[in-house]
Amino acid sequence: MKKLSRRDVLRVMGIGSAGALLAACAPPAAAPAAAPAAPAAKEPAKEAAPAAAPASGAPLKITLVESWFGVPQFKESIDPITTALSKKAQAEGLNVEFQSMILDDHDTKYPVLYASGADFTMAFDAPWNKMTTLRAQNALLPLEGLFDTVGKKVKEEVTESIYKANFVGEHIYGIPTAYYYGGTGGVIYREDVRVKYNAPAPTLEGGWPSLEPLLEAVAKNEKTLIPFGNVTTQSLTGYNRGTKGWGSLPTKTGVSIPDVTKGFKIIGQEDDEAFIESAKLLRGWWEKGYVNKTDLTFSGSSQNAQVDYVYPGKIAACVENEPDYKWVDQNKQMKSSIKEAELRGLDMRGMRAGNKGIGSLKQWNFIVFNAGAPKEAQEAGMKWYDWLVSSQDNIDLWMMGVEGTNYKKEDNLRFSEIEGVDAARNYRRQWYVSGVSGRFQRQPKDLPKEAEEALKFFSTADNWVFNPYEQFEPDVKALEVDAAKLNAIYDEAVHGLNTGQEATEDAAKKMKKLLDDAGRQTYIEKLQKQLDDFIAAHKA
Amino acid sequence: MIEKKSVLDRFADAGIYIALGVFALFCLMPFWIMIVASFTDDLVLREDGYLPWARAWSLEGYRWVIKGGDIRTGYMVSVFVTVVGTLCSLFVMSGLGYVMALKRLKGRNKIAFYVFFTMIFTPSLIPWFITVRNLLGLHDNIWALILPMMLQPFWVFVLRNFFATLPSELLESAYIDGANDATILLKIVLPLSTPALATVGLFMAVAYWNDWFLGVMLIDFANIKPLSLIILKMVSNIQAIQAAMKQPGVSINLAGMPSLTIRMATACITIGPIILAYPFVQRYFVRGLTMGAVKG
Repeated sequence: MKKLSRRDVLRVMGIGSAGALLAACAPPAAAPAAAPAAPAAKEPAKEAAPAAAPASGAPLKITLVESWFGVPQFKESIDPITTALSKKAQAEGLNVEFQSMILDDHDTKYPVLYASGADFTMAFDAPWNKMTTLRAQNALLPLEGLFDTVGKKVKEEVTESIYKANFVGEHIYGIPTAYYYGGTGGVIYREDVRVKYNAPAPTLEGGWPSLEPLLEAVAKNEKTLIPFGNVTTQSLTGYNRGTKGWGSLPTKTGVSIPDVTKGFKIIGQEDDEAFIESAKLLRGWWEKGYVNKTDLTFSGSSQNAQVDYVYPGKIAACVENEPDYKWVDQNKQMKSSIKEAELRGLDMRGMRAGNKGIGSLKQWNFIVFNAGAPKEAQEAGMKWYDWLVSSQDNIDLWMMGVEGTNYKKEDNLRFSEIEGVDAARNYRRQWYVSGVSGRFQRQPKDLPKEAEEALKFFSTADNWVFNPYEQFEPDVKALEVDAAKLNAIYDEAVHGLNTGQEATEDAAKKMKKLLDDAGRQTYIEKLQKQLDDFIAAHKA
Repeated sequence: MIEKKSVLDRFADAGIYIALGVFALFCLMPFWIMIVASFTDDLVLREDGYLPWARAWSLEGYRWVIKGGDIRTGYMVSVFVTVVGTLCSLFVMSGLGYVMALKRLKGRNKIAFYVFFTMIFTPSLIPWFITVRNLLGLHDNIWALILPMMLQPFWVFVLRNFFATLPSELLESAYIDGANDATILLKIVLPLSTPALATVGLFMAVAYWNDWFLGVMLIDFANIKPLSLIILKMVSNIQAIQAAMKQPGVSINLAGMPSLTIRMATACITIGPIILAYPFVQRYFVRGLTMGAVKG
């Protein structure tokens, strides 16, 4: 074998090293940043709605980008279902192969996928997350055309009122996934402790003050139990009796419209009477020793008071969204920690006692479409959702998995679990991440009547009042700098009122000063102008 | 002759040993608490908090982590990526380092500047993602977990500096005897550079073992996620399920899921192998850390 000369070896090493360097540092000039990715299959999808005859030819691949929103994030759980769905769709004439791209780090990778022109069709998104920015970057496909051509069943399923309410300007940018018009807010509490000390049960009509006898009994008799665990970021003050406020104003800016049935004037949050009333109640409880003296700490980022405090038997009560339904599952978990314990939940805003709240037609959960995806894939994506909602069998397979493996089908849209199936890994797509309304999701066989009634209440339009200008979407770009200043100071400003750790009046003054010093009045003026303009334009 | 220590000296020594012992204990304590917590009953852990000893023990956390095939696959992927990645990385970086240390090579400073430039100015995420994934095709294959971090400019400079401290007479004599650069590098330079290689190798191995970012960004569908990513996913999954339970109409019964001990068990499982690797390179590692500290 010929020996390499020194020059040859140097050349090879130099070229090799330079090549490695180039590979690591190559400029992105040649990369098609905004170019649409190549279609996965050549054959275009059929124009018409799926026919009954099986599809022929290679299926068109469509990909849904999603994260951990309610689905166990395991390929072994999801893959068998997506395969079964694809086969069923193909057998029924929709020639697509569906796949789920589960993101491990949604916050980082999701925008990068759009920016890099990655090959995906649809994504689960929510307006509080990335939708606003992506819409501004033209990364999201306006869907009204697809709804009208290949998504008629989806449109029908979404309902006309919700469909219309979710337009942003001229376009609708996602399939709104709806279920309920509004929710209640209230308390989860230890029923066994209440019974033990013979305290009267809190009532829908009495609201938060009716919880006091239980808290008093706990404070007096249970020295190791905090009567009421108040979480700073999910404080009782956010679950007050005011039920008609504008719920979707930008968060953490310290502004409020307390009652949209009376007007649309934006005020400082500490000028909202209902907020101050609940802050006073909280402060009173704090002084009496009913509430944690300092901020609670948590094991995870979810600030889940139940997991860290209620189930281990450290607190007797805490706030919860829709407690009149949630207590059912939470009670199961409670019992796995303390056998004799019993939980109950109750709406403390009195919504179910006739204090009508503001409902919402504008939804939070959407299936958005990648504007950079091939046209035929976009179309196939809408056809996919149209096919999904075309039968309860499809919806069951999509949301519950395979009958007999993942769940057992029961009558009246109920299901029961299969013994021995690991709940943490079992396939269970939740309605809000499905693109299919929650009203088609099966409920557990053992769901108590009161919980069923609560769900029915949430999803009945007549129980809610609607804001005629709900569609208003602030131009966040124009408010960005002002909002950022308020965001930076908000947690500190509201802390005294949200914890009860400071006298209410002093805390309110402090909040006012901090936020006003951070430019809140200017922010209110700008936001008010945007809202007034919108109202003026839509009054007709 | 051994000098006899005074009583005061002995007291001083004892004090120093005690102080260092306490310090060492503080260093070890987090690991100890983590191990104890991983074997503690989840409810007891929530009630008592993190303590050096548990009131009730349980293997539930480990049972949950080991359940399913993910961990086994993750281990195999991580071991492969760490071993192959470290070896490839040492091969490439020592080659480049040697070239940059060659005094007779014209333009070596330009190469060094090029390497240095990438150390100072790193590309932002999106150009990096487009280059690696779209242009180089490093997507859903095992090399996506190895190649993007195979060449670390900082360690290239460390190796170059070490190679530069080797006696030039030795290399020149080999050169005069007819050895080419490949022979000199493989037969002389690398055997004399074991402390440097061990140090760089250990750091690269730890970096490969702990890396989850490449998996997050470059693996979409392939079943080759490294252990660190699976662990990350498992923990975020638990939080996700707990968060999902706050939605109306959602029914998930996760009674008894030991979410806290799962986190501790996963941490123990992840750090175990890489801690075990440390003693094998320790003797080189200490010398390696001081390399270049004193220049003649």
